[in-house]
Amino acid sequence: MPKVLIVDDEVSYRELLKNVFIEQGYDVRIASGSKDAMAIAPTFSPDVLIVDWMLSDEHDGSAVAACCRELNPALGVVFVSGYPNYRLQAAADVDAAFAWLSKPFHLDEVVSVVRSFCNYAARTDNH
Amino acid sequence: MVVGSQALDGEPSRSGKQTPHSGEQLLKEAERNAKLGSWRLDLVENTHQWSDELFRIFDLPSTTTPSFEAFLECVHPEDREHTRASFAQAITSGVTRDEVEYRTVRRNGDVRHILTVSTFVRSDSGRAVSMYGTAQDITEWRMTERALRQSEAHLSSILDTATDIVASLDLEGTILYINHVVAGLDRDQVIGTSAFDYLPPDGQVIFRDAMEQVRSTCAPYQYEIEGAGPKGQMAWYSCRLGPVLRDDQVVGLTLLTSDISKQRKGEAALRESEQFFRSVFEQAAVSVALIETKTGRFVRVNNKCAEFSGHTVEELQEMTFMDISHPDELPENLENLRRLHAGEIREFSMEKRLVHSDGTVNWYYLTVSPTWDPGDEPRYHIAIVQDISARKRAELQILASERKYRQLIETTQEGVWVIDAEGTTTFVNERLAEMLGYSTGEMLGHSIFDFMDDVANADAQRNLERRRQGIKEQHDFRLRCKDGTALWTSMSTNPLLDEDGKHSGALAMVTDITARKRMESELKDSRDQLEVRVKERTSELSATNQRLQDEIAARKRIDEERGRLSSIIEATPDFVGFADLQGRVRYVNQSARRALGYADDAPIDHLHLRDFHPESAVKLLLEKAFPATIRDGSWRGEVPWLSRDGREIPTAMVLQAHYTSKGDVDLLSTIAHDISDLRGAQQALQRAERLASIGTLAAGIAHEINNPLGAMLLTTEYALRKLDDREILEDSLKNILSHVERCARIVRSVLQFSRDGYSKKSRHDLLEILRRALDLTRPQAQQAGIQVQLSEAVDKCFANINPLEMEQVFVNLLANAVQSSKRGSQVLVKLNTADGRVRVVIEDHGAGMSREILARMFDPFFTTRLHGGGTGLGLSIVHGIVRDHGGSIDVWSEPNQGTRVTISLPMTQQIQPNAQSSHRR
Repeated sequence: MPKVLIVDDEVSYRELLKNVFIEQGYDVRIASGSKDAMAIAPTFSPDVLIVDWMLSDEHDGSAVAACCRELNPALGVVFVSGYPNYRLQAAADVDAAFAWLSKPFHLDEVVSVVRSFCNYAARTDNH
Repeated sequence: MVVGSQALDGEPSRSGKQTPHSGEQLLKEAERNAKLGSWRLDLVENTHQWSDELFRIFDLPSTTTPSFEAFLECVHPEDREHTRASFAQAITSGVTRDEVEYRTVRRNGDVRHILTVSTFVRSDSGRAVSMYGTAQDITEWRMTERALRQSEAHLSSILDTATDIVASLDLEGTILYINHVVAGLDRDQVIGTSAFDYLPPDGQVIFRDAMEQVRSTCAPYQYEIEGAGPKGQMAWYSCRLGPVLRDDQVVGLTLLTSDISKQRKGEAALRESEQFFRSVFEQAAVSVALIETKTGRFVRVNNKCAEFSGHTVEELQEMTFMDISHPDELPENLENLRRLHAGEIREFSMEKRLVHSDGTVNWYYLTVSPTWDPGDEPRYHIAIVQDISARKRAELQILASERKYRQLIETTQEGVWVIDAEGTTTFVNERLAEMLGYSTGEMLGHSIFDFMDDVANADAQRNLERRRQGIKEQHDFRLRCKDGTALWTSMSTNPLLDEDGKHSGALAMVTDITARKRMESELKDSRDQLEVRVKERTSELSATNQRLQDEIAARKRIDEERGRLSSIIEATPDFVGFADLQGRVRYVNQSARRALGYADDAPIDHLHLRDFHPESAVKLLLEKAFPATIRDGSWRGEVPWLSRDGREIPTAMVLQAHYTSKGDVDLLSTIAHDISDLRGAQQALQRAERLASIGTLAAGIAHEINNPLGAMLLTTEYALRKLDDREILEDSLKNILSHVERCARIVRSVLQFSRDGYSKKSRHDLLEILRRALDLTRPQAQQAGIQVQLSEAVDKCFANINPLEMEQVFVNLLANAVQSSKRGSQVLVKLNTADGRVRVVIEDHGAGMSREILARMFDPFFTTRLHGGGTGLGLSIVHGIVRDHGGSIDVWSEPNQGTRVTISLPMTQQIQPNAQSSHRR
């Protein structure tokens, strides 16, 4: 069962996404900021990280992604932001991201991105 | 008619003195000497009496019958008419004395000049009854002084005559007897002395030889010997020494000596002298005096003599001739007498002045003859005195005139050159000779053609021909100097004529014009140079002219620029003006006039700064701005102007000092910009800035909007899946609602930020607005578990505000406070008033802010709550609104302790409950 860590300072987002991915059969943890995420990550060791690129506490989304990737180099990262994608791509580590999602986005979009990654990872593992 | 030699004047008045010769003989001799004849004419009887000498003067035989006709026969034919007329005129005119000069022609053809002096005896009626006078041959007068001397010498030689000296000597030469001796010796003393004593040494030798010859031969011996002459000088004597024989023995010697050279002449002279003397005494026209030689005393004088002296005959005979002589000629006279007395001369003539008894002085011609024979002891001499005043005066005049001319000629700077008809130089003055480098002597006798080159020669020939035609003219002429150099002269030439009117030469006045010629040449050079300089100057002038034109063009450009500048000054919306240091206004431009309410052409000369500015501004200008401008050259500041209707116009003013040529400030100018609209302008600027940053802001706005939109989308999609789960559906709808509200708030904020700053303000109760804001934020606070508590000191608080803007301010601040607070804590809101201001304090005990965040908290889009609902615009908008309301905002914050925001706004009076009318600023 893939493990998904959801990090967003908007409470409605993280709660909604948690409910959706639990229903899809994922092992889900949520964090309200970078500090929470970095505290959960070593014990949880997520396979997929869904993180808002712009966090209101100490670190931004890319820092959280880097932290989790050290624990799991095969980590799949999905960046989420209120800014248009092009701004994110210009500013962040492009290679580090599996997908980019600009708000607003549909539920199906985020669910299918995570599922696609998990399928891809499963194929890679089989080799 | 009496003919002959009858004495006219009778015997001398005194006969006491013995005369050595008979009077008649003496007079005849004297008359002859003086060539002076006398005559008398009785006009009534028509009888003529002539002296012997007169016949000789006229060269008539003594047998001729004297008559006027016979006299006229002798007169030169050319002079007869004027002589006759002169006599006739004199007779009828009434004069007592007359002189006529005429020429006679002697039988041998000689022409003589004769002067006749006539004295008229007139009846009581004035008619001439008789006349007498002298006629004198004055041919000699016509001659020079040399001629007179020759005459004197001639006379001397005549009077030098002496009879042979006859002496008897013994064999030793002792003089035993001598008939007379030479002048200066006493005969008695000579006798007994040796003849050798009177001979010069060589004469003594001859005489000794002669004596030896006679003794040895017993025959007479003749020889010539030089010895002392009768005048004291040596003379040659013919001597005949003969023996005195006694018994054929020579016992003595006889000596006959004769002056061999002068003998015959001497005899004739003696005879003439006697005749002259006699004739002088015969007639009355000539003064005659017999004078004692040693003393000079007058022995005998005739009436004429008394006449000219002014003394009577008797008086004169008590006087000496020295008494009436002028002292100047007396030494010469006495010296002549001494020589006469000494036998050095036989007679003398001289011109001398005599003093009349009335003091007048006249010139006389004195002829003195001794009465003694040569060798005789001198005793008396005869003086004949002729009045020559007229002649002497004329002579003196001529002399003076001649001297004057000579002086002129010699001292003049002009050369004088006289040539004869042939062109031979007869006179040049020193100046001319000097010009040509000759001495006067070198030039005399030389042809003028010797003093010029060939070219000038031809000119001179023509000139000379014109002189012969009597033409006088002036011309420049080139002469040749002795050293061969050319000399340019100006010649003024006059032809000279002789007495007959014939051409006899020419006189030229010669001026050295080398200097003038040189000057002319220099003048020409100078003129040439002048032309060159004129050309140069002309080109300078044209250059100057060009410069001037350039300057004019430049000036014109400047004028045009000035015109443009002044039109700019007139057109600029800024106020432009000039004032002097005392604040008297000299000029203000059109903008100022119009803004301040003055007509475009209204005179402003009499106005002062006080008329253009409020009192405080005048004070500022005169006390601070003007001194600073004078000191620093310019000044900037905000100075209000005052229009005529009392309205103040705030301006940003620049003052500029204007300097005189001496560097003093005499005028100040101002350019003032109306800043009434400044705030509007600042707002416009802010708006522009906001618009300019919209692009940047858009992303931020999108982010703020996208967050709730995203949340609503997800929630809605989730709820649609759970339509049968009523609880989830309800929660989802509530969630969506909150996000919609949030979106609406964001949109409102953006609108507020980008509005144009123009907001209506009116009198509102600030407390009411604050309560409304609290109501708006209370749900959020309750959700967050935070209690918001209001404590107000007043129940109403009115201010001039825009209620929506102020509500936004409070909501924003309350939301911040709630969001930064911990669950369960309190947010305190206080409102109080003091000093006409209302203060609202919002205080939380939340996270607080670091110093860095505090410094940036009012920057647009600076936010710490990207996902917490903040727009980042809140505090910057708050700040703008508070400032727009004339208020201030103060923030205190410490991390982990909380934040306190204090807003201060001006209040309106509470006693104005109905001040609802809005007004613009």
